[in-house]
Amino acid sequence: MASFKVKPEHSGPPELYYNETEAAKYASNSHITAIQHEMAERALELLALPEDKTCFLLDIGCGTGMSSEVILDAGHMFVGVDVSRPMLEIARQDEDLETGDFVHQDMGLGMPFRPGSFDGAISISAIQWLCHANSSNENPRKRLLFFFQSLYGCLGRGSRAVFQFYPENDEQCDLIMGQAHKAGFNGGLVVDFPEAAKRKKVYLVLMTGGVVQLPQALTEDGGEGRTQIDNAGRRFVWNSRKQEKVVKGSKAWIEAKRQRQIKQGRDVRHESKYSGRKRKTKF
Amino acid sequence: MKLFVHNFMSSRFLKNVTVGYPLELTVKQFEEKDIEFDRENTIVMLDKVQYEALLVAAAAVNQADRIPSEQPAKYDELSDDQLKQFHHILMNIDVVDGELICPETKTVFPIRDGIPNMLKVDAEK
Repeated sequence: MASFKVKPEHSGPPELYYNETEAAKYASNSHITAIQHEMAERALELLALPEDKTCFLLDIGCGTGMSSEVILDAGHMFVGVDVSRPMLEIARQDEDLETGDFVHQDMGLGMPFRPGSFDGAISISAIQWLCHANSSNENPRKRLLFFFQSLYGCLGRGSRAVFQFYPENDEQCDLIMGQAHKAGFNGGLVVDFPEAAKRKKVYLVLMTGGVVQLPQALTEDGGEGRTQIDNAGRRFVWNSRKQEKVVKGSKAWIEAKRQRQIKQGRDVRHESKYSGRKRKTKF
Repeated sequence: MKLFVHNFMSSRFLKNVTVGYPLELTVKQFEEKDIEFDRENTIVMLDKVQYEALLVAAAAVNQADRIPSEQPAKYDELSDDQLKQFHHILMNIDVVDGELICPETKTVFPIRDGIPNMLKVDAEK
């Protein structure tokens, strides 16, 4: 159905794309598992949950429950929502995920939870699915807005929602952020490793209530080892000569010229306090 | 679907629904699981739970007698045995087959193989 290099969200609605075979493939791919794990951990970190407290989280687009596992490992509880039933069936059979639970729902139809249910929400590579219309009565703009509004409703005050996604272009980013702000969220994008094409990860951090500073993005020089060498010994120096150049005709210029000519062995006038001075008008 | 999820679910996302809570629950079949009891987590969960809705859920599986009919004043003063009863209702009962019904529009959301399906299949968008 889908070949490589085609974004899966372009190939059709998620509930059809992630059928039994695709869901099984997805769950057993160790590369995907590792990356999802890493991203879910980072998303959890961005949520900035209070330490030493068990929180109740929503996992939007949980799929086969890879990100849910990270939530459980961190000692929190979760409810997962996904639109693909085969994915959820795989997740339900996973014994590690026994303590959580799953609900089959399309993000665009709204989150089916009562107000203030959750202490936070994470979503790994899911929200971009909302930006595409898969039938004539689907309007991505409306669906995004409705999704954010219903999410805002079911989050507790002061909690956050973190979405990891792969933006296709700036318009898509603007669309998602615009709808989130319209629904009442504060926040913005945190881009980790912006200079590394492969490691670059975009997280949309949304906050309910109060303007709080966005968390710092990860960059190459923070954390694990440097990958670049500073070029300190090889700076270009020709620029600095320009600054040395003195104004022609000034006292310093005359003195420099005198010294130069002495060096050359020429006959020059002695140094005087009058050199370089302007004559009086009445001479 | 575990019963604690029922406590958080609402049909407010439907059109013309103002509260949509609690959802009516009919259970055709349920399993009893054996999930480890954790005192702290149970208290955290109970603090978030709406008690009336919990009674509705417990009644749907005919186990309302396990928990008091009045909401206890403070959960952290309860004994382990009492909390274990709550834990049983919240976490161990897994509805495999049943229905969730919106109290206002009477929309039916089927639960199959333990996964509630909240997609509106009808065409009245």
